Amino acid sequence: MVTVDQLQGDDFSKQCSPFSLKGVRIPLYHFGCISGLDDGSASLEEEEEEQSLLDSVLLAHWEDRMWKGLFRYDVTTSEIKVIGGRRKFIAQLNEGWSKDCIPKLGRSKTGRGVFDFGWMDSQEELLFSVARGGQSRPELVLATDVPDSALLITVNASPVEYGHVFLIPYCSNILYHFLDAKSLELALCVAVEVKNYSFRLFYDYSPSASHIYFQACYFQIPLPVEFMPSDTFFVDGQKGTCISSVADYPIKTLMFESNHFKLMLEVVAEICSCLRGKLILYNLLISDRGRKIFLFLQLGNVEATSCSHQGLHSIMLLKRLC
Amino acid sequence: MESELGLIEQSINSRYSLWVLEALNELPESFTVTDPCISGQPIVFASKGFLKMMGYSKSEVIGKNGRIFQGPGTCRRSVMEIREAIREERGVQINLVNYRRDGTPFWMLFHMCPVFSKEDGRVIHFVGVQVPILQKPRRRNGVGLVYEDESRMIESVYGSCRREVCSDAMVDLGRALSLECALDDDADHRGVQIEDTCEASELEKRRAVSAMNNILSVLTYYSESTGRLVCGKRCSLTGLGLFSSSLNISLGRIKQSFVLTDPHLPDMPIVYASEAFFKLTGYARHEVLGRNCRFLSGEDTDSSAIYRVKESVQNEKACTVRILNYRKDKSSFWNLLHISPIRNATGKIAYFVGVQMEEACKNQDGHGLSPEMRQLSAVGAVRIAVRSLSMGAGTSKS
Repeated sequence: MVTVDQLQGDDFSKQCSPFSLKGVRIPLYHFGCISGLDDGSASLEEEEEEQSLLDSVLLAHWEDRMWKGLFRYDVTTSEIKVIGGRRKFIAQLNEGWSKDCIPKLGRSKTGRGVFDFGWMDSQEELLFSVARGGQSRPELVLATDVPDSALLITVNASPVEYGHVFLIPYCSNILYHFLDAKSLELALCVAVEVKNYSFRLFYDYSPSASHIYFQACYFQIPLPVEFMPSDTFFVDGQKGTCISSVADYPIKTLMFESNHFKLMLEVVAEICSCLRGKLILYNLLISDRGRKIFLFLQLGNVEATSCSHQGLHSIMLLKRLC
Repeated sequence: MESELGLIEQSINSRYSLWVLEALNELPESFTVTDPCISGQPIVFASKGFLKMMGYSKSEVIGKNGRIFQGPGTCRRSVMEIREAIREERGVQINLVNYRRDGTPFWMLFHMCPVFSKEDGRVIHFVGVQVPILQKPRRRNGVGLVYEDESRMIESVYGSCRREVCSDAMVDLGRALSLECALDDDADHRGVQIEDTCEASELEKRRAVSAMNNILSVLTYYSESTGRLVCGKRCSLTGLGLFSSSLNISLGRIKQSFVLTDPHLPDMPIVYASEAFFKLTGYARHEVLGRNCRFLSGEDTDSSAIYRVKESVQNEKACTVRILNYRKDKSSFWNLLHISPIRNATGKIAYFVGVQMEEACKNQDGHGLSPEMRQLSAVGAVRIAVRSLSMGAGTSKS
């Protein structure tokens, strides 16, 4: 079911200082049996004509915190506009946001290199946790200890959009040191189970961080990159997987599409670990209910190599894996 | 209460009269008509040509959503393009893989157009025309954008795969990959596999457009007989008309009982109500839309509760009240009503949402989400649906 990435095996011991959630009791959502990830192929499931349980839970908790006044500002009062032009980028004017709103490293009492999240002080921001379950149907437990291997879902008190949350992979009192297939799988499970096209997951690779976190928010309109034409250079018809390069976009971007979730996430995790090995900055976007992953390659400030070469390295990997 | 099949029949008959069915059935082309105002945007009419081409019977198709004809080979980006066109209430022409009843996939040109009410500019129906494409696979891009640099196209001599590669360092790599894949790929495409790119010819596009024009003229003509005129272009947008069908679609996913009221219109009328609301109160759609919520209050309704609601609305704040409401049959129930202002992309309040919860029915649904939480999740879903409305320049392309 869950594979342990060999890469992580050696480094697991040098995680950041243990972080204990002992005594913390919050709701727990158990994934049901997700056919897409367990047996490797996504059935062409019917689009649900109603909100999924995880979708409802997430929205309910977020709205509840809004009701309780937990946020610095009401993000829905920020005006958003489409910038006229070919790519239809979206601009948001948010007068409540400032640089202080980004989680900072290192000032937390839990240790150096740990992101300073609001929920570490005030538990109100911690919404619930998400973990694998044993049943075929998803299940919500109202208040329980955080299980051994889970994703913590917390609000971002300075949201960029409605429903902005942090998803923090957590395993045996330790926060994840870097992105691997296991943590990516948890995040992908969330995308699949929310079953909402408006829900997207994001990940930013930061070399100096000692632990990782995903972000997610709801936005009904697809992001501009999702509309851009793509040049496909790899297709595996049998597994319904294809890899493309996004054309006509300011950042070098690869797009992975698959009905075979397990394969896609292993490929992406492997590529990301290679990029990490070379200290190449990148970002991920998971959309289309977990069926699409975008990989944005940033110009690293460490190496002077050009982006296209970095992209090329990634593609060489694919040939080896698939 | 209207049954779903009844709603579907009404969708066509009330707008165009019964006689339109005969006229539509005389058209040879393959096309469908869907109703975005009914939850799930079901097909309300399927032409004979469509049923024949797809191998389905009428009863297997009416009431279903168009996605049942999609399958693993259907490009997800194309599906997204169609979804966006519906949301933006505009037409779209796109190459798409569909599946017949027996499972065989085929490429077709899908041409879709909205049908607007002449009176208030609302979208009444979407018409979709399907023109099968003779296999001449070219480039992988559902929307058929033209690349300036034709040399980017590589037509593989291996017969089965078409690849498109960038004209930089990736070219050789791409060729190598395509070589490897071509050797593995199944060359027979009449079976389960299918070309991964395809584009319609000019002739096929013209056929789609002329079919669409025929269908629209038939619909326009027959709408005159009921007096509820339609047209192919949006003519006017009155207050109620501004309530787009895209909102109808996204709000249709919310299964709780709720209403949206518009504070900018006189007497703050209800502009949307969920199916669950009709079920809870016993009223029908036409008895609810356009009216202020006060019809739910009655003799024994506490005026202080009403006052609290009014006050919250005036102060643009959210509130929860326990209020005695009355159904159409005059029976009463305690309503735990949660009201909240809902903003659109401008950041200003566009609507107020009122989510009803019948106190007697405070059973937890099997999943473990409390009724209060379910109320809040409805509010959240409404916020997301309304948040991207009125985003300004560049979105609507009618």
